[in-house]
Amino acid sequence: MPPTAELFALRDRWQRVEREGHRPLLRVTLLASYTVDPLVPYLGLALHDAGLPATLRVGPFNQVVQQCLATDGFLTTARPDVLVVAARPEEAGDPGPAGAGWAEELLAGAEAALAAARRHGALLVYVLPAVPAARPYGAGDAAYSGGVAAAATAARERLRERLAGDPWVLLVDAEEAVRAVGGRRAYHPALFRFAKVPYTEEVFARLGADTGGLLRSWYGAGCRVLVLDGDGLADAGRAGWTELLPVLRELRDTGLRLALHAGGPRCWATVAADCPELLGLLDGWVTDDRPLAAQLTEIAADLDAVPAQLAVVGTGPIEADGTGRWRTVALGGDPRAWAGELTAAGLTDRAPARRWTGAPGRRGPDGTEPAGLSLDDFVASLDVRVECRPVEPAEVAEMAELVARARDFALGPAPAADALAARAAGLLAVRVRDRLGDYGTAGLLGVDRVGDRWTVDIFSLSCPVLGKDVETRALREVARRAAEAGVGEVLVRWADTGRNGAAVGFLATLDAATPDPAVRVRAVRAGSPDDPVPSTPGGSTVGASW
Amino acid sequence: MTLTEVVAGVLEVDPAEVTDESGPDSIGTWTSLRHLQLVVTLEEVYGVSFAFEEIRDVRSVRTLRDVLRAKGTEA
Repeated sequence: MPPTAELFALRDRWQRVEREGHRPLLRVTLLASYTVDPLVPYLGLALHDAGLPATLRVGPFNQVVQQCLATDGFLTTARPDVLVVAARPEEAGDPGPAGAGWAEELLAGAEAALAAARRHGALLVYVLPAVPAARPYGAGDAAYSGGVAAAATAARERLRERLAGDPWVLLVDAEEAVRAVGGRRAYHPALFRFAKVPYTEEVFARLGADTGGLLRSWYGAGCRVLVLDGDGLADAGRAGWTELLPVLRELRDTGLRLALHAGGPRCWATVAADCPELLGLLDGWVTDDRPLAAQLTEIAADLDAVPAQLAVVGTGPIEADGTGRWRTVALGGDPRAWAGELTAAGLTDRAPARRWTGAPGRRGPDGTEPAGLSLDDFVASLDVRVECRPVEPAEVAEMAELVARARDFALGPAPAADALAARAAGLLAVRVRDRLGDYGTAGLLGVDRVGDRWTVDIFSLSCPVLGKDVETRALREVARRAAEAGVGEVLVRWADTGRNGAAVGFLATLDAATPDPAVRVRAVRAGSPDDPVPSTPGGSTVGASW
Repeated sequence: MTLTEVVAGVLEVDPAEVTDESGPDSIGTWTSLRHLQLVVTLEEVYGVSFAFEEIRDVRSVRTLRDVLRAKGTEA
């Protein structure tokens, strides 16, 4: 099946699973420095198939640290059992010498995620970032110790060093997913340009499967016993066993136990003739004419496991268990491919045994642990710069597109381009920069400036600049301009669009956000009794130029 | 897979709901993210590439079909 159809089938099955409404056992929340929504169907399905039906919720875009540090934010509402955190160097600012900048930034996020996971009693699944694909020196990057690959690798290893020893952390590697898919199929420029989705569906499918496999193991449903179909596998003769034997040895060395089932004792003669080495690897066997379910129940009992921890490996159709009590791995018709097929089944996906050693957090130069970072400290450390400037008529179309896409932070439905053009003189473009990057024009304000009261009825910010207190700074700038103009009040007029919760939540704290004694700034819901403005969305009065 | 099947599959709607006039205004699940997933899926299914402008400007099944046909497919 081609990848597209295969992924299609997976997503279709996830939709059906969601419609069936299984009672969730886990609450999984995802925070990422990028749009991570495409991971949801694959992770959800992997957990469902592992007998761990889950609700999955995606947190605000690129607010890993903010949401982890907030004591009343998204995580408080989501109450996660599993917190999945993914951040990339590409959103972590300057790589710095030998990747130190990336490492510090990503480690700060990882520390915040650890703290949040502990606060909520959640298991942390941290996605190690892939090495960025963009290399300014191209192939020459390999010979540059300060290059992208070197810097990202250094940052990745710092993260691994910090997180790998913690028994309450699972690590998933996005680089492995990218490698498995292949660089050419792992990225699509439009996905990132238009939606900040860094990888293709294939990568997310792999990440979902890997994460699901580790979680299955964590919750005790991982594979512990590999049961070989003695009849089916023996039919391939010596060639099949020769291919399988090295992999079986490797799997057994990782702790997996091996068993064999068959419909009768006939297979013993074949195995003894074709692969006598196998006999020494088997931990158990059942060769009789009972149904598979009865055979597996006995094997599980003998090996101190439960049927859900068994995986049956054979050729052709394997009797499936309708209740999903055991897994099946069907090998193809070519024995030469069996080793690869068995390895790809991911039967040994599990975290290595770890013991809590009280691994300390990051320490300062004097060896002491730094005091916990607060949300205010973090936002202040971003060194956010907000500039508001008048909009040129030639920019109106661009502004209209920006407003149309900024649905989470908006005061109401997006006005059309011609409505914006009619009031261009009252518009302010909001440019945002911080130490992590320059976000360009990331917001728009529309202000009706009439008499002693100004009314802000357009205030849209794009997702990448949310969580940085940009909204407060932008509104303070309006208040400052109002004060200069001798205006005593600024109204912020909003309507509920069903999606603009971020803006509505901010407006609820408006008094604290814009404490300016000279100008009163207050929020008014459009059409409410407090709304003194005739309801004409899009503005009716065009003021003079700023 | 037909264009209708791909659109219905990506947008999680019944194929019977998909007409040439269908677009973000008439199909609630046609969000900006799903729009991109739809375009990327169509690229794979039909073996074509969309320019950034095409991705931005296509706003209905009909325009998707027109763009695909202009690229020599039998959408």
